[in-house]
Amino acid sequence: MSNNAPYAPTVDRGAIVTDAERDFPAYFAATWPRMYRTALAIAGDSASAEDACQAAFAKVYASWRRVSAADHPDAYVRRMVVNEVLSTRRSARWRRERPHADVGEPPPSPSAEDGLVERDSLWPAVVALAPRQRAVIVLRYYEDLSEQQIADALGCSRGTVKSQAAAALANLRRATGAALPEGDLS
Amino acid sequence: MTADLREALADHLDRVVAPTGDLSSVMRSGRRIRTRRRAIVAGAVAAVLVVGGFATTQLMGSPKAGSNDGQVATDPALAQGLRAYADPGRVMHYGDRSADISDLEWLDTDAAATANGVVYYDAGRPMLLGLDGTTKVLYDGEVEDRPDFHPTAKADPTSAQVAVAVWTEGAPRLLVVDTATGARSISLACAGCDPFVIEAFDDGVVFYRTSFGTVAQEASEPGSVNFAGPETRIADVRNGVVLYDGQPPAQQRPVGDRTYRFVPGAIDSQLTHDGQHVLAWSSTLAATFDAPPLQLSVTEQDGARQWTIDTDGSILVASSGGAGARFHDCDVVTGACERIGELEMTGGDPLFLGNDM
Repeated sequence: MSNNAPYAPTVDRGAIVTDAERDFPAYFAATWPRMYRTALAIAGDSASAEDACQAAFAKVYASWRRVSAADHPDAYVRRMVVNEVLSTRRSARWRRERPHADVGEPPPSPSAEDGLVERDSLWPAVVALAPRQRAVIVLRYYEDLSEQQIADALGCSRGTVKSQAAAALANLRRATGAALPEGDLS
Repeated sequence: MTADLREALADHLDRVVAPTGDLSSVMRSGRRIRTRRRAIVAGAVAAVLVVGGFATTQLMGSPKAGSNDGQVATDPALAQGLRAYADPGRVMHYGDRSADISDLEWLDTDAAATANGVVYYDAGRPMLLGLDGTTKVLYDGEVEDRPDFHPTAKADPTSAQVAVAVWTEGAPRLLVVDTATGARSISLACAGCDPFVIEAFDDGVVFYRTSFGTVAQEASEPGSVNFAGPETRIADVRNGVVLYDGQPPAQQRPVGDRTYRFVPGAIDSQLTHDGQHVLAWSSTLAATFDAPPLQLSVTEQDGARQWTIDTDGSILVASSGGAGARFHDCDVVTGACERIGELEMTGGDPLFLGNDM
């Protein structure tokens, strides 16, 4: 190609960078707290939740045009955050976590009148669940996602979500004595 | 009851005060991901073209504007780099433009190619010649045009930032400017720093040399690290690799959470963006670890005589041919070179921005 030859049209790189620089900070500020809480619920500790969110949002920024053009950017980002937490938890340092079988004997059943006591016992039981079971519970009962949305977020089938939910609810019942539904994400 | 489960989660989680997210760190990491991804995509595409050749062309068909929606197809400019080269004192070619550079000096040592245009100095003042052909002032305060002050300009390939310096109020002042937005993240006076030369800029860290040695300054942090003494000259820093001349640093210090691997080399050599190879005036690039060299397809036997690293991490080569020079863009994975242009040379040897000649 000679110096005077015409060139193919090119994308204005400055404009692309400017869009990301302009739009991403506001999105980050708006969604970070909620994503952090979801990550915290699944990871179980604040340092891991923060690390996972930092890593996930970096990937979001790297793919900002694609993410911002998605029909549901939050769902896209939530999936990245959840996957970051779960993939991190597969590393060796997370193997120290107690498996759900080690939750122990259920505590004495709380009185039917004392809902606060029952709720207080539920959180530690949720934290003691296996990571994927915990993710299903958090996404359903905190993020209020449907089975299909949870399947999308976890990258698995609805059937897997159902079976994970059934196991999670059974473990929570056994650990707390709470009257949770049988294998149903209602 | 699932209502209790909902309330238990909400009770616990809604009370949590989320820590402030580190936006600058996220964006820095994101840019690094994007840059590495571009390099990988460009390398993979080049590899496919080299290996697949004719078959690939047949499968993909001829390129048509708007016919693809993949990243490579929609962002052709992002993948090919600035591709800046010049006939000194006459014309510079960059991106899809040409510019008269008869009034511009020191492009060979003090200028820098960036993803958003060419950064150069005009009478001691840093300027950006943008992709649209317009010129922007990167520092609008008073500057002194000292003939002995050549701080150079260095671009960070992991972001849109460039490090420049001005002499103002009796001392050098280091500036880090975003070439996309014009935003300035650092403006630091360096009293008593004479000489003052910016040696490298990578991953948000500026390395500058004074008579006391090399200082590493994070672009997003107020602190700095005494990185090496005056017996060490930093030739380049890329992706955690430090290319140095002279004595190795007596003590290797991290910068923030970054640690570095030191590799000896000539002061006028450069590292590829991934830090894996050294470009040292040759089409054969030595590896910085135990690996074979990278061999470019345009060699010294083909007339190659000038080399530089482009903004996208590819390698630009100028070779002699006929009455002028031919310019090539070479892939850092395969070494395959593509001819991108030619110039009739009237002002001397082919010029690449920021390169010694």
